[in-house]
Amino acid sequence: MNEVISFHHATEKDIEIVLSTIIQADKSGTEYFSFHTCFGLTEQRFREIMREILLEDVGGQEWNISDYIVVKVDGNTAGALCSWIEGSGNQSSSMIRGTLMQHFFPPEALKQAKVNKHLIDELFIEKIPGHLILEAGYIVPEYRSRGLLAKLMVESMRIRKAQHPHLVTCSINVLRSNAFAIRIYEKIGFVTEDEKFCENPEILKLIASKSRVLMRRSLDNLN
Amino acid sequence: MSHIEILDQINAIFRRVFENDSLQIQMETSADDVDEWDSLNHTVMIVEVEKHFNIKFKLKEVLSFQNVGDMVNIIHSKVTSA
Repeated sequence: MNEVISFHHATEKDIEIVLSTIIQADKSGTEYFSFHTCFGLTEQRFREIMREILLEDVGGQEWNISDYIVVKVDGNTAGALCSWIEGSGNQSSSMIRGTLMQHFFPPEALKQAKVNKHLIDELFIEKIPGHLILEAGYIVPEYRSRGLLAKLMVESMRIRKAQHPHLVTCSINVLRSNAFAIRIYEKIGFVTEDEKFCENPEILKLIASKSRVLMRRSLDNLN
Repeated sequence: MSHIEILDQINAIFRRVFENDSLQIQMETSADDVDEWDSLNHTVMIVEVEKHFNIKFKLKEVLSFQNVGDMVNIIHSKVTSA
């Protein structure tokens, strides 16, 4: 029997899948949770803080419900993915996230993050204004192995391109250790454009990889 | 307190937070102009500015900043209405 796959823009009703997506995308299939290793937050505390942030509806970065597309299979929520146009507002996505962290994260979490900032900075990849950014994708385990993440990515690009025909390039960045995700991105036309390395082994106490990859593809030929 | 006085005081905060003693900011300066002005330093800078001027920014105010001048204007309105 054929499955019915549908997509919709996330609303507040989808907050649980968006929260899970943000957390699971950060973990990328590992036990590393960067908001714990870098900021000292438990997953439960992060979830509480992120719920408040998501309800603020601040666009142009990954902590915003209405920038997510949710995929359903036979009416059941199967995953979500965030996309936005970098720099479409006043500030870059990283600066907006910084403001949200300053406003919602406990001061001690920000103080802890400062300690390891020099390591994380080595893997920072600046997002280019005007590019479509895909970030924080997640498929619920029971719906995996059927190409849903690729379908969700292509559908998100189609939706954004239809809304903003001037868009030319889509960017995504991913930890090198997430080989499974990289293979999916390559299958739908993304190619590696850049890679940042951190040679300090201490980085592996914070995140699962010593390198981060920037991948891009044109927004032509999305069929 | 004048806009220029506020700018001077912010400049001292920026130098300390961004660990750059030669930094000279203007009203038009934005994050694009200062290498050290990244998201985490931004959070520290906002906290330090709030402490120094004994004010609290609203979330929407900080999100509206396009440059230092926007911050100076909001600080000015807050300290003169206090």
